[in-house]
Amino acid sequence: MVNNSTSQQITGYVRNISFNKQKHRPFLGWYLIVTEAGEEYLVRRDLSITSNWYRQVYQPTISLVDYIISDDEYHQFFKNDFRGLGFGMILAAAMRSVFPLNFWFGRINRQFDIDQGLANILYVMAVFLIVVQVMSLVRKRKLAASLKKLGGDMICVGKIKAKSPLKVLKNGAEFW
Amino acid sequence: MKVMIKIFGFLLLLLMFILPVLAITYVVTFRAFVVFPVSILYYLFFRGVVQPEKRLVTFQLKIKD
Repeated sequence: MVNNSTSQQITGYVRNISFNKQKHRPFLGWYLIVTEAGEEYLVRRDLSITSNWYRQVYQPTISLVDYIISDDEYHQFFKNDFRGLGFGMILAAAMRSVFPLNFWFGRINRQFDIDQGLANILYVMAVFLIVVQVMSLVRKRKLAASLKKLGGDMICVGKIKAKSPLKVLKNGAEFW
Repeated sequence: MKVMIKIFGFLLLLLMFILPVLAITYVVTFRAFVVFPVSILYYLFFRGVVQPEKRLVTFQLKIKD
């Protein structure tokens, strides 16, 4: 197989972005790299836990520096409130009353049958994977729409992988 | 390698936490639990928040031709 790609190293700052700064809404699932030369790259990253493999990278045709969440603004955007959790509980109860239980979990395993249990777990995992895939796609489309609204676009550049950690925690643990 | 072991350990711990929750969920029909596993997994893994700090990071960029 012929590898049709060229490799290069870039160094820059990793920043989160927001297209709705008035309402303190961060744009999740993507981060911006601003290199020392002033080039900007958008990296697709839906995963929150530490991980390091090649991810899709795009280049915006317009500058997104004005949409970066600065260090001072950071806590306003990522404060830990539990409104989402409360909303989730209400939504869960509402969905439970609309959809039959086996819509999510298959048959209820009252006899504790291992096969049935495994099938139920796999079913939940499948639902979860579909949710994640759809969510990732929605985030990408939302980003493209936001850029278009600003008169820009994004071009797929290739793939990117960190060679140094994005963050080093106080206890010395590295976040990739 | 060390990082991989840490990730594996973390995932194992998480699995030990999630599996009993799922077990309870499919045996007991507690209504809020139905959507909860998906919400918890999403919140833990897929919020897509990086929380970077202001430091230079080196990347390997593979440009497709």
